[in-house]
Amino acid sequence: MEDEKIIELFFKRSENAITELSQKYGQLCMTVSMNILGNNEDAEECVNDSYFGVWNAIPPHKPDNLTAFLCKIVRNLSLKRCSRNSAEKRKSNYGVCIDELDECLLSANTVESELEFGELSGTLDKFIAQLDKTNQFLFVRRYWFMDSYESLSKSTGIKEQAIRTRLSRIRSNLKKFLAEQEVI
Amino acid sequence: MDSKDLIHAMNNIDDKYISEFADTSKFKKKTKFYLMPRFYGSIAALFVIGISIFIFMPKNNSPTDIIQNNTSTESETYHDDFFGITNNQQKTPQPTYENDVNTANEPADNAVKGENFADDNIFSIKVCSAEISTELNLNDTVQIKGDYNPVMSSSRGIGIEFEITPIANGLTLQTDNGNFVTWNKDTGEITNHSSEYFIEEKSNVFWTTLSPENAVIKILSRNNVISVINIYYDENTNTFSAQRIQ
Repeated sequence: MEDEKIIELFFKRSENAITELSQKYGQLCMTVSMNILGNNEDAEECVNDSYFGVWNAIPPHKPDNLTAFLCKIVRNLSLKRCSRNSAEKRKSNYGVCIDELDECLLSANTVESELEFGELSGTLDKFIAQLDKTNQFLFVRRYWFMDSYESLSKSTGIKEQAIRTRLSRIRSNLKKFLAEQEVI
Repeated sequence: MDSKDLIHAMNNIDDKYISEFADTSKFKKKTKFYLMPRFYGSIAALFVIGISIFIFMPKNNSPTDIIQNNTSTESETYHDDFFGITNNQQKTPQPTYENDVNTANEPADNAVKGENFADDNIFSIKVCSAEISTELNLNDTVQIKGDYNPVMSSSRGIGIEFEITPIANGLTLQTDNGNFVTWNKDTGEITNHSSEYFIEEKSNVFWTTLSPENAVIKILSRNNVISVINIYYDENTNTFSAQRIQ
């Protein structure tokens, strides 16, 4: 079913809206949540909470991009759950991603920023925009969807080691970019 | 700010990136065909097939097949073997004969004309070999040194060259042993014919056989035998004789 029709169902407060949403995006939501949490039960719980969140948000919200809207909710809830499960975080991709991104921020001249997340997101948007398509895909899939290297290799057909090298360069460039933008 | 902040900040990146990259199947990078192992496998297979065909393809022994070689030594050796003579000094496809009296290209000044036939057509025969180059008149017998050796000439054997000037309607050569061969001296092209060969214009025709035995060559015009040449082989002297008996 098309996104517009699913949103219409939400506006009509039809229970089929959740069913249709689950059928269309259930797998994607589970992937996002599993990548962050590394636990099936927690992921399922987060995904269900996300559906409930969408049910509460629509209406009054009428998202232009239902995929992104839903995924953001799933991601947010999963990150919160992960924070709660901090003792377990080293076992998840989230923990590894955190470590990898640390190298972008570890600097003697780091300004403990008062920058709002919104501004930082804008900076990240600019950075992503200047990457080529493959690197955009790798960066977003790795640090937004938190895919494993193995999964990235399968989905792109690029060797795992090549992906690691590419992402290492991207992080290095991100560090320079953030410095240029005076974010760090 | 730490990496957690960055991860959380990423949550607010443009929706287009999220929706665009949500479906990974759309981004599957296609492997270029020349990077596929199958590509190199196909190339290798074709190469092997090509080599196999080249190696195992049977040699053309059909009388009508053409062996073309303008400049190679193989062509020169082929011609030398034709007469049972090995001459490694020869560098061009043009045949040269020891004690050459008259080259095959030029008719002798004293060429004897054959009998007159209808329409005043005249033909002449000249026998050429490594030893001689002379006209073959009626009842003449021309000795041709054989030097035939199967080791030297495993494929073509002894040969006798006839320079024949045919009559207007052409002549047909027939033999009961061996076959006829023509050789384009300009291009080096050698053409095998069967035991019958039709001559339309003045040309050099070789008679050849794989085994040194007697043979009869008939020259016909419009199905009428107008001349007969007997080829005799003398085992003791290892020579051939050509005698025009009709």
